[in-house]
Amino acid sequence: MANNNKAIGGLALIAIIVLAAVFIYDSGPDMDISGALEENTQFSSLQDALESVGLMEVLEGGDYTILAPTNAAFTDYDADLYGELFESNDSLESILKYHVIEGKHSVADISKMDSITTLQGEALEVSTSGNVMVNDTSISADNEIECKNGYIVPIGEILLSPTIESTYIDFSITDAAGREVYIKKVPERIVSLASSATETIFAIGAGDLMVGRDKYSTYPEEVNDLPNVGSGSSLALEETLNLDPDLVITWYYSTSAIESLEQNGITVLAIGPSSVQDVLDQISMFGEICGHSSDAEAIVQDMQSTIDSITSFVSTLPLEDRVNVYYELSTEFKSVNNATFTGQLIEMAGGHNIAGDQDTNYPQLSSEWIIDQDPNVIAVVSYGATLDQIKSRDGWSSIDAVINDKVYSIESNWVSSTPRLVLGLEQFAKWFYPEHFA
Amino acid sequence: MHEINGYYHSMKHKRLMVLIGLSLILFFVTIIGIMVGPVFISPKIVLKIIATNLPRVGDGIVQTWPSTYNTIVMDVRLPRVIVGMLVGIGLSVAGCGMQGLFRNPMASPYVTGISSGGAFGAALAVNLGIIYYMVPAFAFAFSAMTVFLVYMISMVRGKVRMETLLLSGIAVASFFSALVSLMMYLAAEKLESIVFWMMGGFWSSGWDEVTIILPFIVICIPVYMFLARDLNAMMLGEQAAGDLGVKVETTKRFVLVLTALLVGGCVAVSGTIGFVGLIIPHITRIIVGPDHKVLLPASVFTGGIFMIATDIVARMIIQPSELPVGIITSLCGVPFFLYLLRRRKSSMGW
Amino acid sequence: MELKIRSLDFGYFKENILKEVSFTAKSGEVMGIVGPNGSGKTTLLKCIRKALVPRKGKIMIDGEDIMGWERSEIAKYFAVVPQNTNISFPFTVLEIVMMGRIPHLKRMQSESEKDIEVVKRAMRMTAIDRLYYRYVNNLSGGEVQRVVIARALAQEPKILLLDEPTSNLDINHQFETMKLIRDLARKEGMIVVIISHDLNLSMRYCDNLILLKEGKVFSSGSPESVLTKENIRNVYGVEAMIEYNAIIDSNQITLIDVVD
Repeated sequence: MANNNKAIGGLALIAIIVLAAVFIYDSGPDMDISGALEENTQFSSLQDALESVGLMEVLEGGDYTILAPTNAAFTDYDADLYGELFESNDSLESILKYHVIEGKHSVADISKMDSITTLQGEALEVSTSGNVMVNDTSISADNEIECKNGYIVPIGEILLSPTIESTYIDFSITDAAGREVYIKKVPERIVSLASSATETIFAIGAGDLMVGRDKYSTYPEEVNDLPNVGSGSSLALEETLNLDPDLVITWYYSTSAIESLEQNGITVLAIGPSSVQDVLDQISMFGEICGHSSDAEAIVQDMQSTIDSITSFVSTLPLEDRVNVYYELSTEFKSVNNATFTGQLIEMAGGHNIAGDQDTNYPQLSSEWIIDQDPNVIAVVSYGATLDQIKSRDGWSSIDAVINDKVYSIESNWVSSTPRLVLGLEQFAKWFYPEHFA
Repeated sequence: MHEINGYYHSMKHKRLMVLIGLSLILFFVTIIGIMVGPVFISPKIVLKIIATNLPRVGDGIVQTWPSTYNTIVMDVRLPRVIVGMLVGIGLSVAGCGMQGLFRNPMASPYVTGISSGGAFGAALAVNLGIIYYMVPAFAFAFSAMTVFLVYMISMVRGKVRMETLLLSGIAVASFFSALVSLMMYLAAEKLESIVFWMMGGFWSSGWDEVTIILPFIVICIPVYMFLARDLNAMMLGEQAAGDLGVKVETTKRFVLVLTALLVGGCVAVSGTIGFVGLIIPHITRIIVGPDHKVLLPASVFTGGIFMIATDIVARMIIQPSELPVGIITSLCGVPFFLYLLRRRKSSMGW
Repeated sequence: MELKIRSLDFGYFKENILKEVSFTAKSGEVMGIVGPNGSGKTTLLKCIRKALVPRKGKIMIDGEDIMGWERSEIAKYFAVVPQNTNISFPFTVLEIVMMGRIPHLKRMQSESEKDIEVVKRAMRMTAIDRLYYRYVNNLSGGEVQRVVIARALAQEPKILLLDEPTSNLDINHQFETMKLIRDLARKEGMIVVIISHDLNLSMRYCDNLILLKEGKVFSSGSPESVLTKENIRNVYGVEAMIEYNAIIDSNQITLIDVVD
């Protein structure tokens, strides 16, 4: 009988060992992703979404890692901004695919990667600073769920691809006409009634977004191929509406155009840059609006460095050594004061604008006063008086600028609120201080 | 009855005195015009500068002032004042002629559409990019053409009825005004030049402008004086004038041609300046009466005085900026005229 | 001096307003032109002085045809007192009457003492010498009328033409004007041609009459022979009674009624 007890004890031990082994041994996950999702109530919204776009089947057919937004994530996202993406199957599918990576990767695996290409095609950015972050949202190994064919990594936010992020700009601004303007997405059909904006948009490489322009927008060359819809003061409304624009840009003073466009439910943005800084800010603004921020920044940097090189020289000049400048508009003896754009450029380039302190922006001066001021440099806008005409004016032969033949003509677009203002600034600097700015 | 002789002679004497007085005022206003400007130059220096430029008188004078002052006085102010005077003369005498011819106190030298035609000529030239010194020539050519056109339209069987002339003048003026608007619409960046030309002024009047307008004044004004008696007779009515032996149609033609030349020249040199041709004849008539023998020479002086004075205001009031002189002529001229009208209303009848 | 009108024709368009009008007027005579409205009286007066140019006919002064004369020449012989005068400009009476000297003055010639005397005389004759300094647009209708007559007289005309000079005047002024007109003919030796509506004044003060009907001379001659019952009935369509009045030494016409 003692032998029987040993046998039983042995069997029991084996049974215990086997049971323990069974308990200890993790035979591995026994569910696949779809099953696991179904089981876990906090992914019910995700599950519905995946099924509605037919992605569930895809997930069943291979190894995948899915960053799974919880139900909370589905209620927390900014529905005002992105809501429409969730209403279309195509865009929803794209969003969901952005959460799926091919292959089986744990959080630990992920933490070792820099960027991961998703099923959608675009990449996720991984960073580790304390926690593991994907596109700046944290994930934790504690929460990961291993499945037969992959991992489910819960994530508290819905991730949006870079394309979506850059398209949905959620842009708010108080424009130059004091209006509150909200632009949700990068516009695809822009009509510009302000030459400064047209030029800026083309300069930052977003010219393909434009579908119409005003008659004064003629730069660069390609602009002339776009339909001409009149101007801010006399707008061809029907034609404009026909172009189905999602953004119209006007000057701040084109009140009637702004009104009629608003009445037709068109988003209008009014601009009115009045200083060099305003122009730089405008370039950045359009960079953001048109989704060309990096192009815009490059341009701004470039312009800023030219400006800086000039202003740094100018700041070394004592006031008495600054050249006196007379600038003439298209009407005889009409000049600009320093509140105007051109006036600011003159001063920035180190010139002393003789009409700078006048009360009105465009003072109509007396010939004799100009003679008395004896400017060293005279600049006239390109479509104003000819240089010969100026030099032959009665009494002007005694003016310093005429004696030294420092009478010049300048393109009006180089001295107005467009990106080409640097050209004007450089030109002025060369004319005022030729020894320094050869 | 001898009172009549006495009265007649004293009237003549009074008129002469008034003319002399007016000429003195003109002289003084001219001097002030040369002395005054956005750049302050003391009157003594101004006189010295002028003296320096006179032969022999100027020899002994030592220049103690900057040479820009010379330029300002001799090349800017002096010609400007002269042009102002000549244009004032031209417009006011032409206004007298038109008011006499039409026997209508509302007639102005522009009533035949001449200013609209001239404005169109200038606007066209600016738009076409015509070289700057040809713009006045265009203006003048179109002014002359307009008057000719209006005259031909109104001529019936060799005679011109003044009512017809007035109406065709209005029609032609409207037509050219519409064309000017078209020019302005097509102008793009040149728009400002056109608008400014139309407002009229002397900001760029130099010796060139003096040379242009001087012949017009020198030739047309004396011829106008020749027509003084005929114009007086025309005031009695065309029938009565004809019965007194006045050649009515010839007189009309002469007056129209002279006016066209005078006004065309003025408009070409300084744009369209309003109110002078309308109001100065009235003011002068209130001072000296309707007899053209004294009205015309008096208008020469009052026109010159008014134009120089208003130009002084135009360039001094917001110095060193300038206002278009046309604004000053209406703002000053109209209230003054109304004041005179109220004062004289009882004795004058109209 | 003799003014002869021979076979005068005038019309604006195809129709002739005056047909074959002829008459003769001599110095010292008052020639009256009477007739209903539209008979061409004013037109005739305008043709005589070439204010309107006749289509056909002769106007002769002492045998010389004036058709070739300039109006400036004509104004030295003919003076006109038109029917209505409206001067709205503040000319003085003296200035207006002075204008009568225009035909005799060269263009830039000033008025001489002689001219002033002529003007003074004209003003005295029309009794407006006290009004010399007054403004014409402030005067009464009758005063203006006299100023215009004075202006005509200042022209020193050989032939004075008047169109309805009495129609706006008070009855006393009517007499004065007609008496003046007769004196001008008799004493100054002028030829006076006067259009009048007033048949009785015409009867009394005119030496000869022309009665116009539809542009033609219906009758001419002495007032008594022209203004007969039959003629008045024929031309005016009015029944009249004509009686000699010894006090005024003239026929008196009383108009009775319209004839059917």
